[in-house]
Amino acid sequence: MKTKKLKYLFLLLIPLLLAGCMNDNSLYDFHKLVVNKEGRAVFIINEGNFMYGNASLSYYNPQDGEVLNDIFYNTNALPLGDVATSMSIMDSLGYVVVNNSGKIYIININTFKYVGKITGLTSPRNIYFINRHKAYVTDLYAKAITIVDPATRQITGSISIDNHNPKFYQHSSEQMVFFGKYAFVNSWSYDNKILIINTLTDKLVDSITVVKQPNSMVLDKNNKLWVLSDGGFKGSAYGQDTAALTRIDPVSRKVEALFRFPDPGASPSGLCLNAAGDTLFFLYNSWTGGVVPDAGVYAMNVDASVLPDMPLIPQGNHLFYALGVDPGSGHIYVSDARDFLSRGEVYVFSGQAALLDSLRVGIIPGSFCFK
Amino acid sequence: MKAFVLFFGLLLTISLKAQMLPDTVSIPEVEVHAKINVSGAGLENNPVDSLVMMREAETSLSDLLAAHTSVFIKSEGRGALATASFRGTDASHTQVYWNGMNIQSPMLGQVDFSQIPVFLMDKIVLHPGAGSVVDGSGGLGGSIDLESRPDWTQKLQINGLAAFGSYRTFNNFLGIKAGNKHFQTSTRLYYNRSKNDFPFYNKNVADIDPKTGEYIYPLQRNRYANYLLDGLLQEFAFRFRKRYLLQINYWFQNSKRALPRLNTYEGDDHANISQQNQQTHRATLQLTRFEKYGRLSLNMGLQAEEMKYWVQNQISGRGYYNAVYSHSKTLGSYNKLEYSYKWREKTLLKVAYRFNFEHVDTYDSVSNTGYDRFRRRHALFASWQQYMGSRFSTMVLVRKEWINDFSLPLIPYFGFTWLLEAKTGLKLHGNISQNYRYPALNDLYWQPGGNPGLKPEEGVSSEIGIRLQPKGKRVTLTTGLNIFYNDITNWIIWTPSPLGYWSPENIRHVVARGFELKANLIFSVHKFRFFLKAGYAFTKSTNEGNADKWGEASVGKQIPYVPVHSGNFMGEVRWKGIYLTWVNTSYSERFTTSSNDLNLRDRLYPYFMNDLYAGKKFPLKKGSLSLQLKIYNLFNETYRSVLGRPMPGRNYLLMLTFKL
Repeated sequence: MKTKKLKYLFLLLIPLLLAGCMNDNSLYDFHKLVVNKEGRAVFIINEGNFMYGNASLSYYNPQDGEVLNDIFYNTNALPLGDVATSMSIMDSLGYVVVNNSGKIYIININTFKYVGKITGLTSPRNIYFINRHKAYVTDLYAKAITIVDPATRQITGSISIDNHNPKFYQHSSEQMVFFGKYAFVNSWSYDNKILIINTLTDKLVDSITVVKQPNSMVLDKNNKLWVLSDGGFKGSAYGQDTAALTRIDPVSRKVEALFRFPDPGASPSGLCLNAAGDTLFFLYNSWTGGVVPDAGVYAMNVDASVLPDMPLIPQGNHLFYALGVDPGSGHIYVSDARDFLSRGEVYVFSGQAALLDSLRVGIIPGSFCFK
Repeated sequence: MKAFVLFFGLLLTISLKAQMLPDTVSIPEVEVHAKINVSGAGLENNPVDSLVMMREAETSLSDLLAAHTSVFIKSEGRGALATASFRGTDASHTQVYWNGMNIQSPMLGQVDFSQIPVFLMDKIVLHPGAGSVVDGSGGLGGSIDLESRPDWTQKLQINGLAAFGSYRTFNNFLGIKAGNKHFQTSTRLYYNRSKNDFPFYNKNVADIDPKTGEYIYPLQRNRYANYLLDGLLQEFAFRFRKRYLLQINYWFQNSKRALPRLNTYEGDDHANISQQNQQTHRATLQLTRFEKYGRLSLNMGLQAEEMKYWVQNQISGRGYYNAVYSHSKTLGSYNKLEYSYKWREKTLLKVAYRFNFEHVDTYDSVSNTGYDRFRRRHALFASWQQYMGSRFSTMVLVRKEWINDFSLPLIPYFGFTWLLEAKTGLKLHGNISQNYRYPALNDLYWQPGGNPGLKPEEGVSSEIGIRLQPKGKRVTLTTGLNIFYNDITNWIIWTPSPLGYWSPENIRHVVARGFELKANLIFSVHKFRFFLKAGYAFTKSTNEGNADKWGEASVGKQIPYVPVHSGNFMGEVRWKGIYLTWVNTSYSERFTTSSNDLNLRDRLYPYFMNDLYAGKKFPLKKGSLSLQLKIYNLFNETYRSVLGRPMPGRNYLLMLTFKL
C-alpha cells in the first residue's frame, strides 16, 4: 500500500520541468536588422498604447513599396518607449520624440541605428532645429520650450511659457512654424493661444488669440499662417467652441480670415500643406465617439473663400487618425488605427485622391516623417 | 428546534458538497445560513482551500488568486493595480461581493485585488460563469464572494502575524476574537508597508559606450513604487430570541501608493511623478430571522470611498505643479430583502428585492473637468430549486433590474446537479444563463469622452462539469472537469483619439470557451503528509467582431492578456510540524495586441513562477506559534508580467504567525 502511494510523488516533480524557462534574454539577444536604406523614404511614427511602452517606428519606401516595421527595436534591441509622437530629420540623423518616456532617440536614417539620445525632458511633443547647435522641443507639461543642442545632445536652456493661470495648466506647446526670426507656437491643451518666440533671444515676445484648442499650423506660399482649432470638447470647463480654420498674417499678427465648421461635434485636426504651399489638407471627423457627416480628408486652396463642403478622400468605414503630405511627391498619407490594439494601417493616395498603396504598420500610427 | 435543524439539513443538501453527507449535519446554523447564498443546482462553487488561505494569510487577494486558482490576474507589478478575470473575459466582468455587498468601484466598474488583504476574510468563494447571477447581474465572467464568518465556539482568541520581507516590506496583522454563543466580536487590524525599491538591470534603455560602441545597461531600482495599506475590520454577531441573527461589519482601509514610471522612462527625474491615495469605508448589516420553513433576511451595505490621484511635474523656478489632480468621491448603498421558503422537503423557493444607490463625484482640478452623477438600481429576483429524487436537483432563476429609467432585459438562469454515484461522489452539473452588465459611471459620463449612449454588455454563459470525490481511507482525492462557453456582445472598449481623448464604445463581440481541470490529493507516506493541488485551464477567448470596422487581423484572435493555457500547482509536505510548500504558477504566452502579432518587443513569453515556503509550527500550551520563510521567484528569473514594468528577482519574506 505504501509503495503504491509513492507513485503520487512524481507529481511533485512536475514543476521542476517548468523551472527556469523564462528566457528574458531572447528579447535582447537576437539577430538584429542590418540595412542601409538610402534614398527617399517615409517614416511612420507609431504611438503605441499609453503605458504599454510599445511605440514603434516603421519604414516605407514609396518607390518599391517596401515596408519594414519595428525598425528601431529590430535594429537596436531596445524598445522605442511609451507614446512616440513625432520625428524630425537633420542631416543624416532622425530625432524621434518619445513623449511619455521623456526623451528623444537619435537614429541614423539609413541604417536606423541608435546613435544617441536627449533625455531629461518632461513631456516632449516635437523637435525643431534652429541651427546646428540649437533646437526647440515643444512640451505638453513643462510650461516651457526646452532648448537643446543637437550636437552635444544636452539640454542647454528653456523658454518659460508659463502664464501663471491658476485655473488651467497653461501654456503647453505643440507645433512650431517659423517666419523670419520668429517661431509661432500653438498652445493646444485647454488654451487658445499662438505664442511667438524670438529665436535669436529665446524669449516669448507676443501671442495671438485664436479659436479654442489650436492643434496644428502651417505657413502657406503667401506667407500666411493657418491655424486649425478643434474647439475643445463638450462639457469642458474651458468651454467648447465650434472648430475653425484661421488665417493669420504673421507680420501684423492679426487674424485675417476665420472659417468656422458648423457642426459642433466636429474635431478637425492634422493640418498639412503641399510642397507648393497652395493647398491645405486636414482631417475632418469627430474625436469623442460621435459621428460627423462627410468625414474624411479635406483639401482647400489657400485662396478659397469658403471651406470645402465635400471630402477629397471620404473616410468611409475608417476612422482616420493621422495625416501627412509628402513634400516630394505630393502624395497623401493617412492612417487608420483600427481597434487601437493591433497594427494600424496607412493608405497612400495621389494628390488627386487615387489610392496608390496600403500598408500595415505599428500600433496607432500617429505621424509621418518624410526623408 | 428539530425542524430548524431539518430545514438547514435541506439547505445543506442543496449545496454541492453536502449532498453526499445529508445525515451528518454538524455545521453551526450560521455557517449553513451563509451557505444558502452561494449554493444552488448547477452552480460551480469553488471555495479557496483553507490551507491556501493559511499559507497566504499575509498577502493580497490578487497574489492568492494568481498563484492558486484559474482566475487570471493582470498585475501592473508588486503592490500595484491587479485586476482579475474569469474564463477569458474582462476584469470588469468580475463582480466582487463582501458579505453580500458589491464592492466594485461604481466609478471604474472594477476591483483592485491588490487592495484586499487575505487576512480579513474567513471564506473566499469563486463563482465562475453563470453562477454569478445568484449574487447579482454584471458578472459576465463570474463573481467572488468574500465572507466573514463568526466562530460561535470562540471565547477569546488572539491571532496575528508579523512579516518582514525584502525591499523593506512589513506586513502586520492582528486579530482579536471574543464572545459566547450569543455574541461574538472580532477585531482585525493591519499595518503594511513596503519601499518596494527592488533592483533590476534595465535592458530597455542603454547608453552607448563611446569607446567600444557596446550598450551599457543601467542597474536601476524600482523607484516611486512604495506603498502602504492599513486598516481595521470590526465585526459583531448576535444571536437572539433563538431565531434571529444579526451581523454588523465595518471595514476601514487607508491606502497610499506611488505609481512607478515605465522602464523606458528617461525623462526629467522631477517630472511624471504620480501617486494614488484611497480611503475606503465599508459597512454591512445582516439581519436574519429563521422560521420553521422559511428564512427572512435583510442586508444593508454602505461603501464610501475617497480617491486622490495626481501627476506632478517640476516647473523650473516654480516648484511642483500638478498636471493631473483628480479627486473622486463615491458612495454606494446596497440593500436586499430576501425570503426563502422550503416546501415539502424538496422544494426551495426564494424571492428577493434589491435596491442600490450609487453616487460618483469626480473632479480634476487641473483640467476642471469631472462629473457628479448618481444612479438607482432596483432588482427583483426569484428562484425555484427542486429536488427530483435524492440525487437530482434543478434550479430556475430570474432576475429583473432597472437602472434609473433603463430596464435591463430579464436575466434567466437554469442549472442542474446530478449525483450519479454516491460512493465515488461522481457528480454532473450544468448551467446556462443570460446576463447583462450595465456600464460603469465612468464609461457613461467621464469627461471628456464618456458615452451616455452605451448599451449594456450582454453575455450568455454556460458550462457543464463533472466531479469525482471517491472516499478513501487514507487518500483524499477530488478531481473535476468543467467545460464552459461564454458569448459576450456589446463588449465595451475605450479607444483613444488624436491628442489623447479616450472614448468607450460597444464594439467587441467575444466568444470565450475552454475547460478547467482540477485535482486535489491528500495522502500520507510514513510520517509524511502530502497535500497536492493542481489546476489547469484552457481558454480560447476570441474576438468575433466586425472585420470591416476593426480590421481582419484581429478577428478570430485571442483577446489581449488572456493566456490560452494556465496552470497552478501547490505541493506541500509536512512532517512533525515542519512543512515545505512549493507553489508554481504558469501561463502560456499572452498577447498584448488584438491581432496577436508575434514580435519580440510586445511579447509576454510563457510565465513559470516558482515560490517556495518553509516553516515550522510550534504548539503552545494554548494555541500555536509558526515561523515561515517564503522565497519568491525561487530561480531568480528575470521576467515580465505586463509590458514596460520591471519585476523583482528572488526575494524573501520571514513571517511569524501566532494564535493564542
